[in-house]
Amino acid sequence: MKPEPGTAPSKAGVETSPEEADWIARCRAGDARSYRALVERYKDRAYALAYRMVRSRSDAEEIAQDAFVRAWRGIGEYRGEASFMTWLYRILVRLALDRAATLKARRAREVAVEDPEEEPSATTSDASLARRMDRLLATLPPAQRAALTLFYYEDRPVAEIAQMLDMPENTVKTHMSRGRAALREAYERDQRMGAVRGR
Amino acid sequence: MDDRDLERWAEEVLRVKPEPISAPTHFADRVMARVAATPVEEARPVPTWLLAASDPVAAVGLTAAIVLALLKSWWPERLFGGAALVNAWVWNGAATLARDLDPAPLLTLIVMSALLIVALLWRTWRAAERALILALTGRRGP
Repeated sequence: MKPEPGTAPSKAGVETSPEEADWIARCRAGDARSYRALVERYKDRAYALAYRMVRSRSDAEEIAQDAFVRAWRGIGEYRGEASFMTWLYRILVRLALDRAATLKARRAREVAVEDPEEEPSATTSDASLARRMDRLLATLPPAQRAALTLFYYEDRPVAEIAQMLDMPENTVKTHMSRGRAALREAYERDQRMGAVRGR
Repeated sequence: MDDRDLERWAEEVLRVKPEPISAPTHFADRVMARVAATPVEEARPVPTWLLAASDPVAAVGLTAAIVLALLKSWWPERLFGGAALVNAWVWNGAATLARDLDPAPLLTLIVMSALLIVALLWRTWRAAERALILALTGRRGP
């Protein structure tokens, strides 16, 4: 038997809170104020994920807005088999992957403008390392970037990432494995460049 | 460096999260302005028979029965089997679209497709075999 909308734990184990389930029920009846509460709750995470996927502030805002609008339009279809966040992320990641694929060239320019390269340096501070890894993650193919970002930065389990990316868990693991290898290569290349500049 | 080493390395270098990114000011206002102009779509009712038809075990059993019927030489049975197979296929496709996140119907669809291909290959082989026997011996084959 199917669970009641918005009340059941998702397959990935993330539960929708009763408060959120109530908002969703009201949204189904067309209550936009309840939807605003959901937007306020998830706007930063949605925007941050979109930004990490496309590396462009304008595109990230457009994608995050589109995801929220689509989620609103389709909220009647949401049956609570996953948490609202998983469902929203799934919509958003699809939009972001589409955008990342079509705007590859433009994105490359915007990385240079909006996310200026940090000089590789000898400093090992946590903040510096985090910025550096964030920059290197942006060089990975979109699916690998999405899988690693969701796993490491959003702390989502593989099962939930598979739902969000609409692919089997093993495919997600393959993307993660290849992504880690590519990230390691990029890291070592970055180290070598840093050493050359440091001479 | 093997996979485990890479995992350990990634855990190490990605353990510190980058600075949090916040949505732009008035992001929620802009979303809500668009939401105000967008009606909530009516939920598509998903009939229970549709969900039942998408049940992997039931669908595979049904398909196996249909494929067996398809392999029989009676034309009416073949026609019936073909039509039922297409029906089952369409049901599964519709159920896949209707469900949010359940990959089971997709798996069913793949299994059904594989069965269909096997059935078609089998029929093609039998037809070729008969044609060959007829050409070589002048007699009808098995």
